[in-house]
Amino acid sequence: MNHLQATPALPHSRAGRSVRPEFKVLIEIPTIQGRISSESVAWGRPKFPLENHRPGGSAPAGRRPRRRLKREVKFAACVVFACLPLSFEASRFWSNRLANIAAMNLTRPPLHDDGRVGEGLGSSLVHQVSSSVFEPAVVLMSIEPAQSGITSEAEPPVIFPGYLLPEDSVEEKAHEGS
Amino acid sequence: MREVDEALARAFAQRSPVESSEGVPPAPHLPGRAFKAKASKITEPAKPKESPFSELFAGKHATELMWSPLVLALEREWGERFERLADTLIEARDRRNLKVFLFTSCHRAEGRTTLVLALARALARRPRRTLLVDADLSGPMLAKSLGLRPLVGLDDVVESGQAIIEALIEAPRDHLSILPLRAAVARPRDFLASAAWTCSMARLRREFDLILLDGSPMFTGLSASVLHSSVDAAILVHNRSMTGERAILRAGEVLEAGGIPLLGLAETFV
Repeated sequence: MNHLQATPALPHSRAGRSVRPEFKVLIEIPTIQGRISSESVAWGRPKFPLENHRPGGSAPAGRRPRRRLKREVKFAACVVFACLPLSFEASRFWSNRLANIAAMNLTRPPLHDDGRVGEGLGSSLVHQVSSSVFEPAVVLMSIEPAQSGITSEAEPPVIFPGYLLPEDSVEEKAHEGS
Repeated sequence: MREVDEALARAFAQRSPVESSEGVPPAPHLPGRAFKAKASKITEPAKPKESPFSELFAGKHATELMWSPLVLALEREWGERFERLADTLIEARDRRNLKVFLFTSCHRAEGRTTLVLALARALARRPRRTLLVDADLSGPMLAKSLGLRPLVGLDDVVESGQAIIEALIEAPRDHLSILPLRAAVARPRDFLASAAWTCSMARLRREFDLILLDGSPMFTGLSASVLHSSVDAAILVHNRSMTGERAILRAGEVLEAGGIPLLGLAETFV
């Protein structure tokens, strides 16, 4: 048994079949030549190709009729692709400009109501922020070991509120020796 | 599925309207008592009784259809071809007992709804009761093409259990009946597999001589690939500039696998 005999025959084998279907043609409706009134289009989609309204002339015979939706989709795609780089550049420009405006607002000291330039904690904070954001940080390098914040390991005294501990050396006379 | 429909249709036919009011309560999608109450108000005893639908349509559901100029132009230009197609369908009905015809296509915008509308006008001139059903579950266009804004549609009948008589629209001047879809169906597979759809089609099969289903395209999305059940035969609308021959072959295979015989092709934009 070879592989051809082992293969089961398909119920609808197209081996010896012509591509041309042999179905009975019940009716043939030619395309209506001539102008159909615009009301036919208002019913919905035009079922049959109407007169070609392109100013360039009529389409060649046998050519597939163009679809309006396809044309509109193509037009929309072209518009989107044309506007995409412009909008990208515009967004980039405005993002840089907004960053500059924000930097100017941070570096400018605040103004009070009477017009004088603000000072104190607010202005120093603004200066600190502006200097930290827009100025390069200063890096200090030294060969000395870095000192920790806590120099002594003694525990801090516990202080209760409203209760004063007497000093070791100085005592009041009335309580001296008691 | 077709045998089930025919059995249901026979069961409906054997059950007279008077007998049906007693005993078994009506199904939720059937008119039932409300239908009989409305039908009893019709005061035309001399008129021959054709169908309970036709009596009821003398009331608020009667309307005039606004035909598209495109359909009228097609009928004016190629009317004899539509007449021949109408003869073919009537012959298939008489000889092979085919009543429900599905008009489908491989893709959208192949001229399916326009062809159905023009064919319905040709069939309306015959002494038959013809029904147009919007079965394009993913994109209903029939009501819009006829200038209708239905408050109740086939989707309400199948999904919400409304009476089918509320969704049917009668155009007495055009000698046509319309069953539109109000909106697209969210779950076409469940919609077509529901018992309400089968029962509705069985009842319509009993009431009308020819039923034209403006179906969904076959190869557009997952939802459109669901085949319609309760259909006797299919007619594939084919636009050569949009659909190739391999797609036609594939559509024929899908229909054949679904048990729907393909009656033939309807070539548009030739």
